[in-house]
Amino acid sequence: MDENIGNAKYYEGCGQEGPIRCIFLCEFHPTAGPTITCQVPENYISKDIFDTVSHYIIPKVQLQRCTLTVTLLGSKILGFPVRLDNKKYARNAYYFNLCFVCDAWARTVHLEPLVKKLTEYLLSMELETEWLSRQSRSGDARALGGLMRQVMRDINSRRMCTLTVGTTTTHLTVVRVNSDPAPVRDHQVPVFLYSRHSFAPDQWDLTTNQILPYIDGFNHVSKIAALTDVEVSLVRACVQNLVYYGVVTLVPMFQYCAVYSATPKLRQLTRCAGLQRQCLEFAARSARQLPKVSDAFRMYAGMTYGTCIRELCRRLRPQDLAINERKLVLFGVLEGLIRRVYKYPINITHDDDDADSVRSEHSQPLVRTYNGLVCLDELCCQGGLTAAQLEEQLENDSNVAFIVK
Amino acid sequence: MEVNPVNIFFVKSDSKGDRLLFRYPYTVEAKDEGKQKKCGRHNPYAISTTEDLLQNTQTQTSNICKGQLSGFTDEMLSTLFAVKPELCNRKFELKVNDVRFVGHPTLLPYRTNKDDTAAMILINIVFALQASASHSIVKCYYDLSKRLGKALRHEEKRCSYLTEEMKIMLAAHDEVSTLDNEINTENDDDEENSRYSVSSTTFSLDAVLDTGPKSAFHLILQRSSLARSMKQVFEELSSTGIVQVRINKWVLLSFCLPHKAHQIHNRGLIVEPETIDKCLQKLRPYHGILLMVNPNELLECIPLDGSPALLRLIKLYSPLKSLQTIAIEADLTLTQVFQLTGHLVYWAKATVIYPLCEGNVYVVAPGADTRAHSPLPREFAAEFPGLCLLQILSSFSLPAPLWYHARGAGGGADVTRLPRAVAWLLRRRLLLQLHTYVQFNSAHWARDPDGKEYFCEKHNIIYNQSCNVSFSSLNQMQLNVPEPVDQRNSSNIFPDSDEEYPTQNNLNQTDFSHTKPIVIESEVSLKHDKFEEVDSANHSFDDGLDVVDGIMKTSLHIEGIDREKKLQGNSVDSGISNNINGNTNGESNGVECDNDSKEDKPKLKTRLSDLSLKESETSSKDTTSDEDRFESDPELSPRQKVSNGVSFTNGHEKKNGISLNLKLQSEMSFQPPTVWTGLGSCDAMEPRAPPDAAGEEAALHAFTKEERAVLAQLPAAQQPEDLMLLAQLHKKGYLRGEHHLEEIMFMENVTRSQLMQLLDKFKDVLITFETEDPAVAMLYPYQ
Repeated sequence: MDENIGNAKYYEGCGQEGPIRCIFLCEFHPTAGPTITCQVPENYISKDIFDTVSHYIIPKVQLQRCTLTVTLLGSKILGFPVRLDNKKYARNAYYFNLCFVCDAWARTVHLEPLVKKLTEYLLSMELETEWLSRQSRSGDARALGGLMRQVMRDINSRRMCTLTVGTTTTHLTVVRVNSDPAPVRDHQVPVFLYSRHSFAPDQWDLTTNQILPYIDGFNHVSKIAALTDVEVSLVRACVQNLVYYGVVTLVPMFQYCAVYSATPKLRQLTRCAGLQRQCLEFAARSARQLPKVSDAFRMYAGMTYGTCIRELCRRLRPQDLAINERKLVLFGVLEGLIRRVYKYPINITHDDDDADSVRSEHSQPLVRTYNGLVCLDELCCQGGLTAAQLEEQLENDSNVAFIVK
Repeated sequence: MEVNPVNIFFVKSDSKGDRLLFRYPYTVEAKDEGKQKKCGRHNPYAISTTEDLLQNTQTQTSNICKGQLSGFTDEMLSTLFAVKPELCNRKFELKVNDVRFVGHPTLLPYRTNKDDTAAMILINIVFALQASASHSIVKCYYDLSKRLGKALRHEEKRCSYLTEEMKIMLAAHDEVSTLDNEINTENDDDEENSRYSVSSTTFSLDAVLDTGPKSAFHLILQRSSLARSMKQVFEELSSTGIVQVRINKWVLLSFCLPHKAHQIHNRGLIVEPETIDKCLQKLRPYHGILLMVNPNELLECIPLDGSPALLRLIKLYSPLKSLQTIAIEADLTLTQVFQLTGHLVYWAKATVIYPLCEGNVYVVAPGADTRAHSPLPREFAAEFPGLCLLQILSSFSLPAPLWYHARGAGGGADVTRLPRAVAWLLRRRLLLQLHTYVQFNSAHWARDPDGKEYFCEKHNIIYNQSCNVSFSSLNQMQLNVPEPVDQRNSSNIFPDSDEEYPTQNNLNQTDFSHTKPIVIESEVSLKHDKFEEVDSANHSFDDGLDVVDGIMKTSLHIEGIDREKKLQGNSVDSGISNNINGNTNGESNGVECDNDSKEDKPKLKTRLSDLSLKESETSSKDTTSDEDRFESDPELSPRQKVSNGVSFTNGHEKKNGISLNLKLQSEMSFQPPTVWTGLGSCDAMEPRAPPDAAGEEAALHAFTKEERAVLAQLPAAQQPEDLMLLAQLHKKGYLRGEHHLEEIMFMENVTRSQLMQLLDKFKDVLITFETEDPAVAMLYPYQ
């Protein structure tokens, strides 16, 4: 069990998922108390260890049907204890718990629904045919062992599993548990993280399929809505859904008046050959002529506060260097080599009319007070203005200051 | 908030069985809730469906109701927490639905009344947390549970504290249950009542206050000091994240939950201990610290037996000083100062900055809270009347050195208030400093001259937008994926993570967080030496500004006295004389700088560079102060030598501030030592000594043939001095984008103007970029 101790890569809290090491079924035996009926692989959880943790695996009544995870002695045991009341059982009840065992460092939250579903499947079979209790009474748990072996193998390798026992079938799959992504704004640009060829369109809904061709890394959400003639809130919802599943990510809109700043990660471009090759192939104007690393680096290095892309292009002439500046910026943003510097107009007069501003937000988008939460890009999108127009308009307003961050 | 604890439990298990002795908060479930459940179950109109067979009880998915624990009875919890002896003295972690219980079951000998044979008793102090709390939070709570257990073990051993407290708690439990039994015999109609009444969870707060039957836990809270301590722990964790509790008025338990503590000053900023460790590893001597609190308040809250080193450091603190300067002034080794810095950052008392100076370039931090209606503008206005936060931030929208802001461009902040305002903004993480990094544009990208392994980020992202190039082939390449940072194996960095809680009173001094119980009154006056100036930052920064503006303070006579005092201070054992040192050095700092600038009058420009550089320059150029150094440094080094494991005795004896630091620096960084070898004397510290032909030849070997060819075409290469400097910088790896200008200035003892000229002359081969210092930026919320 201690095989991973001393391995620096895996420690508790590393946040990585690990394989299922063992699956066992534990029952409350009428005379012997909690026992392991069946375990794959054999003897992964020894008798001694089991005895020390058994009262977390077959717990008291109140903890039935709770997802229990106990981390002890270098392993994590995940279970969903169940009690079945019926006169036909000895002691009038049948307790069982199907447990997954993982390494102590592994994340197991994603396995919880799986354990629950599998337990409910077993429970229904028990109710119909006494599938479990018969096996444990006879001492021949081959069918159960086979089932558990299949679950362990399939989940570890394919992350999904289809079980068939008799005439019943159940499907298990590991679902990633992510927190909800932030709401999508109109000015954000979705960009694919996977190759589009590996993307199966029939898995997705019609609206998503409609907007898919327009996700090219340059069209922002409201532009996609306009191009596809889809309601913008639907586009937002679709994009948010895609973000949740990690298919796309959101990047800032490319504009020649946009300002970017290098991040400390930029220096990786000087060291990592893989990154350099990716960068050059991605940002090249044509696949035949790759730009030089030093030129790409010089472009990134020139991105500082106060320098917009337009000035940079005038100075360094990326078209002569065989660099597509739009793609270069996109690559930099995706890899975190640069980050966008936004401009936030903010009202510096001190009339605290919160209520007013909220109301005006709904009635007239442009007459809102600039509260420092909305950047210039978003305002442009909402008002349908160009950045230059809006900026000019705001420059004249002495109450409005710009904060660049 | 997932950082806050949901509940704290105290469970014992001995030969008489297990028992939940105390929990806080204890008013969890209202009684009527249970009744409602019962009513629902026996609803006569409900149709009992066959589906109920499968779903015979409603699956419970959440055990947290309105921020409080629900659905557990006390008996159940006590059986869960009373672990088998095999699981004692190790981490106990149990997750039930969305609650995570963490604790450290402690087994300890326990004196029973009848005989002296010590029976073993198990105690477990368990914290209930939300399951979504990150692992590092769980780890901190585990650590706290462990330390509480150890403190109790110590107190039990010393004076049977635990025995007494447990007696009180058990008595209270018995009292309440007998009282309940009496009531129950009176009105015997409700069977359920007896079951609920023992577990006091049924009583709402009103019931406790109004009616007769009192909660056992309420009684315990009144009678037991241990229960009160636990309550205090819980409340301090929920409010500030900093726990200072004295168990049995004897053992002081200091604990800090950094995730929470950093939110005192910055809402929403979560700093994990692992981040602080990483930051500490990147700490360099030129970094400085910025205290989040008033130094005087900080001094007062340090326990009486706090490390004298820490006291000295705080007394000498100034956001203008580099850690190296502080180390020298406070007579500490650099390693010690780093550890103290880590300690202060951990406790949310300080943050790491680059020392404030006029050449610093700040911009608004990406994660800064710039909402017009956030409380920050109001707080700022209260601190600096007449100034508008948003205007100041707006003035930092374009990167400009601080002196530019000081000259009236900065949103109305005048010269005197600007440094304080900047410090305020840095504390709130509203400003971020930009540094300039230099990259030598060599022909061989991606090949490191040292052959060192550089880690790539994961490049498993495939781009396939409008371009047709497939990047999938790149994925097949061997890419170096960064390994997760190892666990904190250096447990001595933070006393909080110390394995052993001191069980005796002679505590080791590196442990600042624990105290001796005996209060010596006479020490108080000695310890609480007031911080010299109310705002020393402001003061000395002003000095700097004055010099720039051409007004200089002449205070040579003070300097003389100062030097005398210094000598005096050094003759005394440094361990004892911290008081003297503290006082004299505190005022000497500003003075010394003035002195420097006088002698370097032609180079007024260098005032714009940082003070730490100034410090090192003095030691190399100014012979008089050099002597001063010579006097002081050998005095301070022997201790350091031993403690650092640095042997200065072999080879070149350099009793110079700089060489010492270079050595320390080279130890810490991955680079080969940058001590100037071959030239043994102090003259070697002059980096721009006229190079002879052979030396030049040797230096140029740093470049490859192609690079030399490119260099030869540049007109600037005709200047041997410039070329030599470039070669030296290149050889030492400063031109690889890893070191910012300030670091190069500090390490190589060059001025900013020199560097800027060099950059300008060789701009064809050097690429500069501006970005933040990762060590500093790590503590910002957007990271």
